[in-house]
Formats: sequence, structure tokens, C-alpha cells
Amino acid sequence: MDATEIEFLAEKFPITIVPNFAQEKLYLISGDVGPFNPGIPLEVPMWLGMNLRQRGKCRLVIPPWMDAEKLAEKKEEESQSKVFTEMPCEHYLVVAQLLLSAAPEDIPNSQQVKTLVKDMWDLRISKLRSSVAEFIKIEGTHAKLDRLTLLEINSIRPFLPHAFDHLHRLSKAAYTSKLSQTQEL
Amino acid sequence: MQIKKMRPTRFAHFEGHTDICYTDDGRYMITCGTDGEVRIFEGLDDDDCKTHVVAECASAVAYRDGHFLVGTDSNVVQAYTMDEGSPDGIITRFTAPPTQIVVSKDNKRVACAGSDMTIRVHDPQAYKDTVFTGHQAPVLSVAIDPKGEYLASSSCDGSIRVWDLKTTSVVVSWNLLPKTNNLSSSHTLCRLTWTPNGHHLLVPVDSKVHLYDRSSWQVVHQLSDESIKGTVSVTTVSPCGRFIAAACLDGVIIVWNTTTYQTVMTEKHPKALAVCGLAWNPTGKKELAFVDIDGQFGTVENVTYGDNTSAAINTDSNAGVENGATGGGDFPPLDVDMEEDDDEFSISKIKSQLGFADDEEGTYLGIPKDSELKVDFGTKPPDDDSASILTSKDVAPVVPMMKMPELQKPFQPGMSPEYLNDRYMLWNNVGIVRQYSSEDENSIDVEFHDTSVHHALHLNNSLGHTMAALSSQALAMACESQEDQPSKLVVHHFSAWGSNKEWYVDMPEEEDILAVCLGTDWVAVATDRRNLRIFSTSGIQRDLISIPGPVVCIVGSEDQLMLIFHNGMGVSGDQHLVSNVLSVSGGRHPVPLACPVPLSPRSFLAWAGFSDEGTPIIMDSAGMVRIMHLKYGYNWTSILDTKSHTRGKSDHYFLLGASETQGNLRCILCKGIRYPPVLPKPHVSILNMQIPLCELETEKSELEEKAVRTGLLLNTLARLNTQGYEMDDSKSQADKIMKEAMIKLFALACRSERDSRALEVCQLMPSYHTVELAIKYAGKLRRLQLAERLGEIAAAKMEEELERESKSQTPVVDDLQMYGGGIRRIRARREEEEEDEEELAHSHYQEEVHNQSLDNPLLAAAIRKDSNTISLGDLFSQSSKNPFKKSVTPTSGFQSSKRGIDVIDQFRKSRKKAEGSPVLKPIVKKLQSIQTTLKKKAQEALPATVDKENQSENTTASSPKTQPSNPFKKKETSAQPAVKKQSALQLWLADNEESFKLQYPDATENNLLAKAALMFKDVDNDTKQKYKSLAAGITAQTLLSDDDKKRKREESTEESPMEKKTKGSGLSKLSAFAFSKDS
Repeated sequence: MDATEIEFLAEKFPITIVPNFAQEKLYLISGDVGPFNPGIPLEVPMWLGMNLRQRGKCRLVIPPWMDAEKLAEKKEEESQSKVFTEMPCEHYLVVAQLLLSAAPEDIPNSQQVKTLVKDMWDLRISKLRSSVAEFIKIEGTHAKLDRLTLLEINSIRPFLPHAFDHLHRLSKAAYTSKLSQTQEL
Repeated sequence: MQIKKMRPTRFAHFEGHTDICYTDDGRYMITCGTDGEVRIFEGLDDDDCKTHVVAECASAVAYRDGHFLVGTDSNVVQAYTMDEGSPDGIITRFTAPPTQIVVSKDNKRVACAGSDMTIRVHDPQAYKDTVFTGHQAPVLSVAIDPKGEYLASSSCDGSIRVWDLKTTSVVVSWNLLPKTNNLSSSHTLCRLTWTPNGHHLLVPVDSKVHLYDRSSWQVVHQLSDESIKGTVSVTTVSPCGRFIAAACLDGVIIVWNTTTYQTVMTEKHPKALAVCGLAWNPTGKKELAFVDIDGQFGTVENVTYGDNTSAAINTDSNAGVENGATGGGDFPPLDVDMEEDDDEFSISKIKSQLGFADDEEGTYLGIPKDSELKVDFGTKPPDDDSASILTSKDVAPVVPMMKMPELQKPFQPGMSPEYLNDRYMLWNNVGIVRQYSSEDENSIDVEFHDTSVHHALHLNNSLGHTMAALSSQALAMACESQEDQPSKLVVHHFSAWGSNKEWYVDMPEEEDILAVCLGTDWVAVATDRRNLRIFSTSGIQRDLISIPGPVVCIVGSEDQLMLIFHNGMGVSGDQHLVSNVLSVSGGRHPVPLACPVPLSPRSFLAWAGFSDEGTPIIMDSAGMVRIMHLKYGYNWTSILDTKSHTRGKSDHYFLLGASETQGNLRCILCKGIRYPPVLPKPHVSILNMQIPLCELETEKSELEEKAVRTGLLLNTLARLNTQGYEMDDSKSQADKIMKEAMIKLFALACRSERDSRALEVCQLMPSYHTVELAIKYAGKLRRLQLAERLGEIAAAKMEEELERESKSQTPVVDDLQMYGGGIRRIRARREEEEEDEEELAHSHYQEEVHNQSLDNPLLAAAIRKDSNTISLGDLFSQSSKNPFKKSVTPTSGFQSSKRGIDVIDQFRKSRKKAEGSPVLKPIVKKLQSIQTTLKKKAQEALPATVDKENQSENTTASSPKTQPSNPFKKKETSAQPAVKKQSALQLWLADNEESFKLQYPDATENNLLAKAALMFKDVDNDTKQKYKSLAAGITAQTLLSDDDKKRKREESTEESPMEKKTKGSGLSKLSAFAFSKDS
């Protein structure tokens, strides 16, 4: 799965908007949306919210976790914890990226938020990498990684199994050559 | 009396200047010191005092209405809340540290002395500072005249000045003190005081205290004592005004009696340290608290011990003041002034006793804040309190009078207070009006929720508008009068099509606009001259109505105007508000006479408005939302306690609007404040209505709440229906919810073995269909007895419904007749089957007709209809103007009494039929959304639609009123055969009327019919048959041209006598049957 696919999935997540127009209910395959009433907050899928925001038809209500203070706390927790901590949103990076690109002016301290989200991502990815390294070093046979978000899993998914394959092949080659050596002796 | 005692001092702050004050209730002492901390002690023995760090160094402290004010080295005087010690607004700012803070008795002024040589008097209501400049050195102390005229101050430049509070000019000035250039180098603190009655100013000068007379500004007395060795630096007067306390730099504390000028008490500080703060306990504890320059604080208790004259004089003076009379007052030489002075004095005192305080809410709404409002109506016998008299300002001389609640000031619902720089002038369901007032900018921003209404506006607020109203048609703004310009109303009528969309109008001189509101095509303003002026949106002055009291707010919605004003005196500190709801376009006023507005105890009105459906809604400061409950006259019912949704105690919801059909309220959660901040833009939250019933957590209450709430909604929908709105969707939805809740309640009652409750639930059910379901349920549970009883209820309910239907039908009879052709046709088709069945069951005499109708049901039905028509036209044409009524009422009665429960058994079937037949939706706009304004259906549309009905619709009901939502249809069905059965008789009667009248000359129309029926029964079979077929023949003809019923009817009536002649007489068993039923 590549990033665009994950973004597509993330766009299904709901977000609250405050529309500035009136519109009857929209009957969509995935479910009904609306009715839209000016000034009244309403939950819509992210893709719709983004679209409306880009057209200047609504104001986004930033999800509560995208607050500089809360993110800082979360980051602190993440850095203190050995294992992965629960993220406030399944697609935190995607959502943050979408919102920050679509409506930075709707987000208080958007720059700070951006940095914090990026920091968190870096933290987690480094954690992930180090645990992978450890896994290989101790030649473990299985590992359990809870609370990874989809994007994080997919960031190493194309590479990791491939690398394992190679490792396996190499070790196999080493073993056979060793074996043949002993046989020769 | 206990022995006076000086307790050992205890540590309060670091070494250095400290200050002390009491809270108004005398419970806490507040101290501040150079360590920058404020400590709140609950008595001297409080080991667990509260400490708040406020700054690096705090120099002065005062208490005002739940807040303590601290002057800090950051050069500000800041207010902090007493409970949490959290900052709650800056009172004033200096350019150097403040030295003393004094709060006036009525809490309406805060005077602060500053080291920057200025004195600032802050008015918390207007949020304005008055600055007194003139001192040449840091100001040491200030004192506010209790009468509010003067301000006294002392300064390091050695001068003591008395200022005029209004003009800020110096009234008198003395140079009495040694000159210094700094507070710290000053020898004395020179804390001056006024006596509580304002007659004397006390100034500590050297080792004496000078008493200056108010009018002459001459020293009338010099208080001194041999024990005073050092300089007197602090003076203070007890709240009762009878004792003067002074403290010296060598630690001596002296108390004098104000009347006799005798020394009452002398105490010496244990360590002989200079006392820098002195405060009397405001309650009757006779306690004097002090702080010294070492940061220690202590108290002296029972300070009046040794004042042997006190009791007698006390009683005396108290009596004097109470009666408002003179003799025996505090200062006998000033008797002449006493009376009026006392009056003034009492009013301010009473106010302060009532705790009408001004704080962030109070300032702008003028609201009672203090919860300790005591009811103190009676007079106090002067002799029973000689002991307790010394006492406090609460108990001390009180003029017997009712406590008056302070009136809430007028406001615009949806605004935040005026003293804020950035504030909401209005937030309603059309848009938001913000006001920005800073030094360099004064502007108004208008933002519309729906951008299609209008684009956002940015206006220059040069006139200083403070009030705004916004609708989708116009923006109205108003300002109060200023020095050079009268009060003005400005309206931007942006839905106007002309080029000039803005107009304004000046109020007459000395008339100020207090509130403004907008409706559809009108603007209204309420003024302080108690006028309600109504304009059209384009500026025509339409009406002027007198408001019977000081206005609180006005709200408009479409045609309705709600007016809320003060009306008379409330009890125990509550306000007494009343409201009117008027219809601006004339018409019927929803609430023509003032009805009281309910408020939670000691709260004020926070919001008022209309729901989207047009029902008045109010919210009070306690967070209770109420809606007008029209079922109980003009009373109100609570629909939500917003406080139950807040987490913190000081969180509030700011109401924006409500929708009854959606059952929710739109509001903004404001954390720690009452009003939403302008930035960041707050988010609207939706709260569901929840009527605060008991035990809401139980399933039963939950269902009950649902039922009650839906009941309210149904009331509203019914009202809207009569006003011509299309509410069918919401109504059916509400009906469904209601039924569901009822059935669940019933099931719950059944399960918990409470049969009588179950029975009651059934009695409350809206219709007998629901009861029907309940019967089934009871049957399933094998509660046969219950089911049986329910059967009775169902029968009674049905009867009731039928009656109601028939009643509700009578007023619309004319319409029915007018559009009768269409209706009859509709009925004919829809009911043919049922009717036939019923006939079968009812009469075996009707075989002939029945056969006919089986062959051609349509024909049969038409026959019936037509015979009905004939009978109406013929039989009653002479006697009754309203034939339809006559025929319907008796038949329906007959039907219900006869049939009872078996109708229920058939109910389901018939209902299905009813649903199956296409029904014309009444011609109205749907309620589109929460915020949609309901549009009245155009009156012109009505005839057009009726035409349509007549032409094309064979299967429609004619108007929402006759819309058979339930058994109405049934009834119509049953009514038909009865009417039909008369037909032959009526024909016969028409023919034989004359002979008949001869026979019974004295018979009235009614019993004529009965007698005719009797006779007709005796007529031979042939005649009956003839009339029968005659009737059938006519109706058959009618059917041929059923486009034009009316004409047909005339025709048939003309024909009937003619045909009769040709055919002679016959007999019909059917007719006989019909008659027998009828009679």
C-alpha cells in the first residue's frame, strides 16, 4: 500500500465543519451527510470537508488532539515510553498533513503543530527502526508491534520483508558454504 | 464581657511593609507582603491558610465582592477571585507601585493611591478610571467619602488634600506632614479615614489624630492619649462608626470612642514594632487585626472592653438612626443634617448589605451576585441589641425598609458585555456582529452564517453603536446619546432593491435607545422613556407603544415581538420580570398581557428569544433554559439545565438558539467565563433538550422525559399547523416517538407488575391505536384482566376522538361544502369497499341496492353520495343553514355508541386502506432545516390548489384539517350509510310535506322528521319501493356528470318531485330500516 492509498483511506475519517451555506441532506453510498445548516457544526468525511474548505464553503473545526499543548504532552509520553503509545488518531500524520495544507489559518499555532507532529513521527519511526535492528540482531523469530498506525507500518512494509529475504538467503548461503567446507574437509 | 486580649502575633510575610484587610463577611483576613504573596487566614488560628503568589512584591490589598485586589510591584492593581485566587481582571495601572487600595462602602468605587503621584478612582461599572493629579510626591493614602462627594489623600510631599470626586479639583489642602520623596523614607503612612457617616475626616498628624469637619474643613477635635509616644500612622474607624482605632510607629494601638473622644483601649505591640496595617472586623466580633513591618500579624479581640458608655449610647444612637430622626446621633452637633444624611447613608448601606455587587457580570447587568441576601423586612427593636450592637455594618443602624433587588440593565440577547474591547454585539442564527473598539480603531464586523444571505460587512463605528440586531433582511444598530448627538438608530436594509439601503433616525432629545430588535419587515427599539417604537425595515414609523416598566430586552422573530421588562418588586432579592409576546402586524397577539418570566433564585435573565419554531425561550444566569408551555396558559417549563453539562463551576453556556423539532439547543461552551471570547473563534455546540425530571438516570424517567418533551413539541406543531405551516413530517415523527415512548413505558410498567400504572399510561396515550398495541402486548403477557380494562380505555378514547373530530369538523363545514364535490368523490372511491361490507352487516333489507353496488361499486357509492346530497338539499333547505352539521353530528354519535370496541378490531385493516390511498399533501413548504425560517403558505395559493383538487384529484382529502390521520376516515365511512338511509324517506317527505304539515300543524322541523319517519314506515311497500328506486335513479344520473356536482344537485332536486309524480308510490325495506335507525 502506498501513501496515496493510505491517504484515500484516511479521507474517510470524519471531521467537523461549520458550513456557511444551507443544503439538504446528501445521500452518499457510504452514508448520508447533512443536512447543512449555516453556522451549525456537522460531521462530514474528511474528503468532503477538504473540498468544501478549499472552495471557501466552510470552516474546519480542528480535532481536539491537534492542539499544540496536547501534542507536546503526547510527544513527551511517546519519548518516555519504550513501546509505542496510542496515537490520538489512526491517521494522525495524514490528517495533520491534510489540515495543515488546506487550512493553516484555521489552526492555532499551526507551525508549532506541524513541528510537533513531525517530531512525533520521527520519534516513532526511529523507535520502529531500532526495534527492527534489535530484532535482526537477536535473530528473533517473531515480534509484536502494537499501536502502529497504517502509514507507519507501510513505511517499512515494502522494505522489511525484502530485507529479511535477503538476510535469509545470505545466511542460507553461508550455511551451505560452511556445510560444503566441512564436507570437503 | 470577655477580657480584651492581644494575642501573640504570628508570621504572615517576610519582613517589610505589609497590608491587611477583612472580607466583607468578616470570616477571612487577607494579608499581603513584600514576598509577593497574598495569604488568606480564617482567623488568627488558621494553620492552613491559603497562599497565592501574585507578584514579586505586593504593597496593598483590599477586598471587594468575592475578589481581593492587590497592588503589586508590576504597577497594577489586579483583582483575584477569592475562591481560587485566579486573576480576574486588572483594576487599574500605574507607572509606579500602588500604595493603598480603598473600596467604597457601596463597592462602586475603588480608589488607588500610586507612587507615581497620582490617585486613580476606578468605577467598576463603567470600567472607567478617574485620575487625580496634583501631588508632588508619591501618594501615601486615599479615603473615599462615604457620601461619594470627596476624596481625601495624603502624600509624601507633606500635603493632605481633599478632592471633589466629580470634578477632580482640589477642595482643600493642608501641609501637615514632613516632606519626603519616597514611600519607604516616609516617616508616617498617614492612612486617613472618613467616619462612616461622612461627617468627619480623620487625619493622623504627628502623635495626634485630627478630626476635620466636613463642611468647614476645620479641626473640630484632636484625639490624643498619653500612651502615644511615637507618630500615629494608621487610623481606621469601626464599621459601626463608634470607635476610632489608630496605630503608631512604636506599636501602640489605641481605640477611642467617637462620641466621647475617650480612650477605650490601649494596647502595645508585643515587640513594639511599627504597625503598618490595621483593620476592623466588619461583623460584630469587635476584633481589630493588624500587621507590622516585620510581616507579623495579630488581632486584638474584645476591644470595647472598658467602654462603659457604649451600651447606653449605642442604644440611643441606634434608635435615632433607625427612626431617621435626629436626637442621640453619633455627632450631636450636626443634628440638623442628620435626617437627609441618614437617608443617603442608608441607601448605600442597604445596597452593600444586599451585596449588589459589580463584577464581570454585575457591572454590565447590575445583578445581585452575593448569595447571602438576607431578608430583613422588619424593624429592629432598639433595646434588644444593646449587646450586639457594636457589630457590623450588616446589623448596625438599619433603616427599616424592604430590600430592593437591583434591576437588571437592558441587554441584547446574544451579546457580550460592553466593557470588553473586542466583543460580540450579537450572535444569533443569522450571523455574528463583532465590535472592535481600541484607541485607534472603532469598527463593527458583520459575518453571516450563510454567505448567500449577504457578504460580510466591515463598518466604521464612528457613532459608537453599542447595540445591534441582525436578520436576513437588515442590520439595525443603535447608540445611546452622547454629548453632542442624540441617540440614533441606523438600519442597513440590505435586502432592499433601491440604491439607498441605509437609513437612520434620531430619537427625541433625552430619549435613549436601550434595546433594539428586528423581525420580518419591522425594526423595534425600546427606549428609556419606556417607548417601544416600531419602524418598517425601510424606515416608516409604524407604531409607538408604551412599555409598562423598565425594559430588559426585546426580541423579534418574523411577526412576533417579545418584550421583557421589570414589573414591580420581586421578593427576597429576586427580580420580577414579565414578558409580552406581540404580533407586530396586528392579528392575534400570542401573549397579549404581561406574563411573569420565571428565573432561578437570585439569577438574572441571560438570554431571551424564540425557537426556530417561534416559541419564546429564555435562559437565566443559573443556566436554566425555559420554554413557554402553551398548554398551561402562558407558563413556562424548563427544557434544559445547561449547568449539568458543564464541568467546571464557572463554566457557562452561551445560548444562541434552539430548535424544537430537532430537540436541541445551539450554544457555546465558555470555560471560566460567561461570554465567548472573540478570538479564537469559539465553536458552536449542540445540546439536546432534557426536561429535568426526577431520577433521570432510570429507564422509566428517561421514557417519561421523552414523552413530556414530545408532548411539548406536539403542542408547538399543533400551533404551527393552525397557523398554516406544513409540519407533517415532524408531526408524524413526533407522533412516532410519543407512541414508542408510551408503549415502552407501558411495557415497563407491565414488566414491573404495576398494572395500575400501565393502565394510566394507556390513558395518557395519544390515540387508541397505541392502546390497541398495548392491548396486544398485555394479551401476549397473559394479562387478560389488564387487557380487558384497556379495552374500555380504548373504547373511551375512540369515542373521544370521534367527538373531537366531529367538533373540529363543524367550523370547517363551509369549506367542505364549497369544495364538497371533490371530497365526496374522493370518499366515494376510497370507502366503497368498507361501506359495502358494513352495509352487509347492518342491513339485510338492502339486498337490492347491495347487489347493485356489488355489480358496480363505484355506482353504488355514488348513489349513496348523491342521495346524501339530495337529502341535504331537500330536507333541510328550509330549516337549517348548515345541513352538513346536522346530518353528521347525530350519525357520528350513533356510530360510536353502537360500535365501540369492534371498531378497534377492524382498525388495523381500515387503517391500511387509508394509508394505501393516495393522500394529497397539504400545500406547504417543508420545514427545511433547523434554522430555516418557516414560510407561511401563500394565501393566494389556496384557491388554486382547491381547483386542482376538484379537477383532477379523485382520491384526495381537501385540506389539512380534514386530513384523516386516523379514525376520522372511519367515521366518515360510517356516517355515510346512515345518511343514505334517509334518502327515500326524505324524498317521500318532500313530496308529502304539505299534507303532513296540515296533519301536524304544531310540529317543529325536528319532530316533523320523526313523525314523518313514523308515517313513512306505515306507507305501503310499493310507495317505498318507488321512492327507493327514485333515489337510486337520481344518483345514477348524477354519476354521469360528476364533474359538476353543484349543478347536478340543483338538477336532481328539481327532478325529484317531477319523477315522483310519474312513478307513483312504492316501498323499500331499506328506507324503513334507515328510518328506524335514525329515530
